[in-house]
Amino acid sequence: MVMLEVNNLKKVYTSRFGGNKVQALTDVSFSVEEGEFVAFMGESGSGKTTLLNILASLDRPTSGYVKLMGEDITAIPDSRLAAFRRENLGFVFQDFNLLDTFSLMDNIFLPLVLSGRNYAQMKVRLNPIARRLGIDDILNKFPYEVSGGQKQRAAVARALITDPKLILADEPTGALDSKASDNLLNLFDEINGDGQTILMVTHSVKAASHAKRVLFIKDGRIFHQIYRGQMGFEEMFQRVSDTLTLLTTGGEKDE
Amino acid sequence: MSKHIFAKMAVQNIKSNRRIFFPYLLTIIGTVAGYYICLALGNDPGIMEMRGNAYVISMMNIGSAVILFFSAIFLIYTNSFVVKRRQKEMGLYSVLGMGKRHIALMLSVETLIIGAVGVAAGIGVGVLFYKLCLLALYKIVDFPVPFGFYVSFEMVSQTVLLFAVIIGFTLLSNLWTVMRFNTIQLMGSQKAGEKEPKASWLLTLIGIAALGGGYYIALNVTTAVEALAFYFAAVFLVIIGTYLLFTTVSIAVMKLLKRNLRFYYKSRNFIALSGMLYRMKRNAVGLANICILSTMVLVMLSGTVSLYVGTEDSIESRCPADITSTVVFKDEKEDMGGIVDTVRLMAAESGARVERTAAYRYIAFAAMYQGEGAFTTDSGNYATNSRGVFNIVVIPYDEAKELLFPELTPPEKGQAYMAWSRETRPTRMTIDFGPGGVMAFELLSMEKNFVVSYFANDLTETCYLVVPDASGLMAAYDAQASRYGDEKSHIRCEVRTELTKKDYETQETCRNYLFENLRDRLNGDGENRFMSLRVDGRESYRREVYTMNGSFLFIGIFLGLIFVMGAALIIYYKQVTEGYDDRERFKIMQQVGLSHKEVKSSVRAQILMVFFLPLLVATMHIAFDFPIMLLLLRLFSITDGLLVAKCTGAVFAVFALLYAAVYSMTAGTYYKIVS
Repeated sequence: MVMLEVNNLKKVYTSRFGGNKVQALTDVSFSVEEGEFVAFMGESGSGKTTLLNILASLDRPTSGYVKLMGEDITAIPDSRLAAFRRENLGFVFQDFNLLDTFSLMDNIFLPLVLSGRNYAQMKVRLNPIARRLGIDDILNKFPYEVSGGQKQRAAVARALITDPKLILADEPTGALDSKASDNLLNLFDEINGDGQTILMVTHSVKAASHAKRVLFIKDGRIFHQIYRGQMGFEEMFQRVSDTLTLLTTGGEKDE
Repeated sequence: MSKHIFAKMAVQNIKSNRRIFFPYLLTIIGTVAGYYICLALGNDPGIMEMRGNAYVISMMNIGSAVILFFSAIFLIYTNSFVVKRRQKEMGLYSVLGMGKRHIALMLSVETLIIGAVGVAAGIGVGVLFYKLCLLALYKIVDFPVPFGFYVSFEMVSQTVLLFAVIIGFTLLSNLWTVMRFNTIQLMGSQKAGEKEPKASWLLTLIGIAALGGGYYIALNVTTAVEALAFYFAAVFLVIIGTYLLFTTVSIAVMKLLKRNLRFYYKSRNFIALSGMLYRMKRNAVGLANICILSTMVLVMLSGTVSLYVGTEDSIESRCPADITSTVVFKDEKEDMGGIVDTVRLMAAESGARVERTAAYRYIAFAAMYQGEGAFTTDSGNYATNSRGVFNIVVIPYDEAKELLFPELTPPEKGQAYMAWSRETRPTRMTIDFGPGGVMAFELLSMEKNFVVSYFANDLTETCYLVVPDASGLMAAYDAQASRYGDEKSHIRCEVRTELTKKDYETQETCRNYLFENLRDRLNGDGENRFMSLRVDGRESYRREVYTMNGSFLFIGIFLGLIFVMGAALIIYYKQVTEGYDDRERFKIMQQVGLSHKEVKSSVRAQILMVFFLPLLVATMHIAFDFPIMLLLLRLFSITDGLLVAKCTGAVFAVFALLYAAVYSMTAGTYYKIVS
C-alpha cells in the first residue's frame, strides 16, 4: 500500500524583494510504501533538508503535492497543521531537540499532552516503548544529565509515542559517536521490522546502508536510487559508497 | 596592530551591538543628567535666597546622593549584562588570533567612547532640563520664579568626575573578565545545560516568615512612634521576603503544582509550568529588583503626593487662626481674660488690625490606655513602652465650643465628648489617678474629630476629652498634680487671633512682635507666672510647609523617574535575554507539533506573568504599607485617610500605566528576537 506519494515537487526560494531566486527542488517525484525504510543522501545544499521540511509540513512547496495516505498535506490549512503533525508524524533530529526544561519523560509526553491525553493513558503507552529503547530507568532525568545516545533514544521515544504513520529523521546519527550511532540504527531496523515507515536524511554511508532504499539527491533532483533487495549490509554499504563518489566527483546521470 | 584599527573596530562593534549598547548609553545619559540636575538645584544661587531653603537644599543633597548610589548600581548591572552578551564575540576574536591585550585595548576604547559620549550627552541634557526642573520646583514650593539661566561649572565638573570614576570601575571589571577568560568556555558559554531549579524548603519558610513578619508589623503598629521605630525593620523584612519570594517561594509553589499530575499534565499547564520554573530561576533576582524599585517608587510618590495634596488641611489643623499663641500658666488660678486682652492689644501695637480674638484653656497629661475606655496614670517610665501611651487633653466645653466644636450640644455633669484617632470610641471613659482618685465619664457620641493645634503633629497619640465646664478642667488638674507631683502638667491657653489683613507681611510683623514680647508683658515685673509659649502665623507656616512638602514632592517625583528608568532598564535586558533563550525553544515546540499561534500565546502568557508579577507583589506591599504610611503622615498633620487613599490610588494608576507602557515597548524587542 502506498503511504506517501510525492509528485512534481518544486520549491523556489525568493529573496524578499524578488531579486534573487533559488531553485531548491526541481520536479521531485517518488512514492513510499507502507513499512519502508528510505534514506535520502546528498551533499549540503542539494535540497534534502528542503524536501524533508516539506514532507514534515513545516514548509510548503511552490508547486506539486505530497499525499500521506491519500491526503494532500500541502493543502492542509495552517490552523490544522500543528495537529496534523502531532498525530501523523514523528520527528528525530540531529541535535535531539529535547526541551531542556522538561525531564525525559515529560519530553516524551509532550505531543500526547498537547493532544489532551491524561497521565494514566500516557503512562500505559510509555512503558513498553521506554523498556524497548532501554531508557526506562532514566526517565526522570533531565536532558543535560544524560548522554547523546540516551537523548536520541528519548527523542525516538517521543516520535514513537504518538504511533505516527511516518517517522522523519534528520541526520539522526549526526551528533552521536559510532557506538551510539550503531545502537540507534539497529533500533531503527527493529522498529522498521515491526512495520514502522521511516524516512531518514543522512550524510552517513553507514546510516544509509541500513535503509531498504536510498535516494540520492543532487541539485534539487532525484539523481539515483538503490534498492537493497537481497543485498547484505556490506554489499549495500559498498554500493552506496560508490554512488556517492560518483555523485561528488560530478558524474552525470547515466543509469 | 595600529591604534587606529582598534578605534575603528570599537566603533564598528558599538554599531553592530546597538541593541544592547543603546540602553546602556541611555542609562548613562539619564543618570548623569539626573545627578547633575539634583546637585545643581541644591546649590542654585536663586534657591539660596529662598525662605526655607534649608529643606530644599537638604532634600537635593539627599536626592543627589541617592541618585549617585543607584546610578552606580544601574551602570554596573547594565555593563555586566553587555559583557555577558558579548562573551561569544570575544571568544571569536580570540580564536581569530587577537591576544588578550588586544581585546582589552579594544574593549577599553569602546568603554571610553560610550562613557565619553554618554557623560557629555548627559551633561547636555542636564543643563537643558535644569531650567525646566527649576521652574517645576519653584511652582511646587509656591515661590516666584526668578529669571536667568544658570550653569554651574563646578557641579558639571563634579558630575563628570564622579561618573568617570563609576565608568572607570566598570572598565576595570571588564578588563578583569577579559584577563580571566578561557576561549573555549567563552565560545560555548551560552550552550551549557541548565540544572532544574531546586526549591529549598528552609529558605521558602524563611521567606514566608520574613514577608509575614513585615506585614504583621505593618498591620499591628498603632501609633506614629511605633511606626517610626519599626518602619525600617518592616522594610528590611519585606525586602528579604521579596527576594526569597521570587527566588525560592515561587519555585516551591510551582514544584508543588508539578507534583499534582492531574494538574500538571494538562496541555495548558504543562508547558507553562515547566517554562515558568526556569524563567523564574533565571530572572528571580532581576524581578525582585524590579519589584523593590517599583515599591520604592510607589511608597515615595504616594507619600509625597499625599503630603503635598494634604498641605492645606495640615495648615488648618496646625494654624487654625492667623495668629495662634499658646501660653502655659504656671499658676492654675490665672485668669484667661487678661491674656486675651493682652494679645489683642499687642497685635494692634504691631500695626495690625484685629478682627477677633478668642481663647480656651486645656490641660494635657500622659496616661496609659488599658482598653475599654480605661486610662491609668503611672509615675513610672512611659518611654519604655510607647504602645498605649496617650496625651489626654481635657478641654472645658463652654470655653472651647465656638472655636473647636460649634456643632456639639452641651454635655451634662458626668458626661463628656471624646475624640481620638482610633476607629471606634468606647461609651464610657475612666481615668485612674492613683492617689488622686478616679474620674469617670459617660461618653456622648459625636461625628467629627477636632484637633488642638499644639498636638496637630505630635508623635504621641492624643485623646481629647471635652468636659462640661472649667470645674472639670480644675478637677483634672488637681488629680494629675497629686499624681505627678513636681512633674505635673500646667494649664495652657490657646489664643486665636484673626486679623483683618491676611497678607504675609502683616502677619509676620505681628507674630514676631508677639513672640518677642508677649511673655515679658504677661509676666510684668519680676514674677514668672507664664512659661514657654508658641506663636504661629498661618502664612509663614504655610510658606514653610509648602517649601518642605514641595521639596519632598519634587524629590519624590525626581527619584521616582530615576527608579522607573532603572526598572525599565532591567525589564528591557530581561526581555532581550529571554528572547535569545526562547528562540531555540520556540523552534522545537513547533516541530513537536505546536502551532505557531499556540507557541506564541503560551510564551506571551508566560512573559506577561513574569513581568507583571513584580507589579503585583509591589501592589501587595503597598496595600500592607498603607496603614503604616497613614500613621507616619500623621507626623506631618495629614489625618485624612480618604485623601491619602485617593493619592495612593492615583499614583498607582499612573505607575501601572507607565509600567505597562515600558513592558509593551520592550516586548516588541522580545518578539523581534524570537521570530
